[in-house]
Amino acid sequence: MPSVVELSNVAKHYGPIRALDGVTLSFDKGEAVVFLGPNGAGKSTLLKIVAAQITPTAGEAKVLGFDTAQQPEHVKRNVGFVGHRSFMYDELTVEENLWFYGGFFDATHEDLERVIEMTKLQRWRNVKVSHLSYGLRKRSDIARALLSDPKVLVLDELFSGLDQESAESLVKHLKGHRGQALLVSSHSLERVRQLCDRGVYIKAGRVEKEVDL
Amino acid sequence: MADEALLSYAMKLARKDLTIELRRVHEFMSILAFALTSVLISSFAWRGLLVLNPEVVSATLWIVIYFSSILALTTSFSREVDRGTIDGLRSLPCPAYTILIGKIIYCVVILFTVFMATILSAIIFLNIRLVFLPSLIVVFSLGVIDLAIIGSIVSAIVMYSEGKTLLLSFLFFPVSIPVLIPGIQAVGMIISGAGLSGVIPELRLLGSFLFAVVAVSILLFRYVFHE
Repeated sequence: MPSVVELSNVAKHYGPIRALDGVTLSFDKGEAVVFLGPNGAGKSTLLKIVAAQITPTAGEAKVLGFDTAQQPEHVKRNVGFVGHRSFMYDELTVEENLWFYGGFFDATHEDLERVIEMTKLQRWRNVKVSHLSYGLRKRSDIARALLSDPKVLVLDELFSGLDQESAESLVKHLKGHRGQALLVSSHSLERVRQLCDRGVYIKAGRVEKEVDL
Repeated sequence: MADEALLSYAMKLARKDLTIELRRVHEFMSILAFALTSVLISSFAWRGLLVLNPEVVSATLWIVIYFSSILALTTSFSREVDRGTIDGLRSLPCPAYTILIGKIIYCVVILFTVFMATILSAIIFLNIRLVFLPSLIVVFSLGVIDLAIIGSIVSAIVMYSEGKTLLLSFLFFPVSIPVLIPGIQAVGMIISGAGLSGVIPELRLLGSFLFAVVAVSILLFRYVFHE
């Protein structure tokens, strides 16, 4: 069975800086993986390549058989991505934001209701994003990513800035909605242990070790 | 991907930007205020003159449109970068140029609204005859679309630079010259009474420049947007 996500010799250079250097990894259907490592290790770059946000300088990245550099639109259609900064527009309400992004994935009313319920955003659906706390904003971003019912969920710095309660609530929501693969980056192993079953340590753009959680 | 789907995506993007603009009404109002006060100040200078110099009136109108486009375009892409929503746009499953088309549509709507307010105030304060209005709409529509396309691509090119406002102003002017020269001449001739048939060569120039900038922008934007 082919892997859901395949990275072979992936490198990303920003001028003289080697953000990623020859990363080879593959993730099978049903896997939930956390990328661990210090700041600047290359975790976010790796996740951005998987989500077809950026193209690798060398190597090949495939998601569900689609090349992220050659077929980015197919990849984006199947990947739900949450970056470490919110993609939501301050001037729009949560629901307006979800409709805007959902419009590109042919999301229906049912999809919208499903993700709002899943992320417990019913009370805030008509509130402007600028009035939301960081945790609620994060939840609305996750709702956006889940809207297209993605096969692969990519969540960068999932728990950064979240309080204990919000983090636990997120883990609970995500446990049941991992899709075919869940890729998360985090500084802390403790919180993701309940969610992920494999950990990949990245340091200076290279895979240092892989562990079962 | 079907052309209708791409157009519908571009329209969604433009609608989103216009909704945000309407909610941040102070920015649009400041552009409108600039346009109206410019016409009004010009009218003070020409008070008492029976015949206004058509070339000077034309230049005044184009200066208003040109600076309004700079004001509108400065925030077009840079706001997305500053807030991090540019990555949200990158996550959309559509070709990069769809994003550009959305931004262009948004900019055309803003500039055309500014143009209508400017021309109506010019009819009142600069004694432009109402019969010239349809011809002026044709010339300015072409010019506004040209400026919106050039401005959007320049705005995208400078979106990551530190002095983006300054850079935009400097880069926008030289590439706008092929719009401004025939535009100013055409409007001057229309106000002199030449009619639309008298400005066909200028319209041809504006039209052919439109095709050129569309082609270049679509080819360039992919590289600007993704890296």
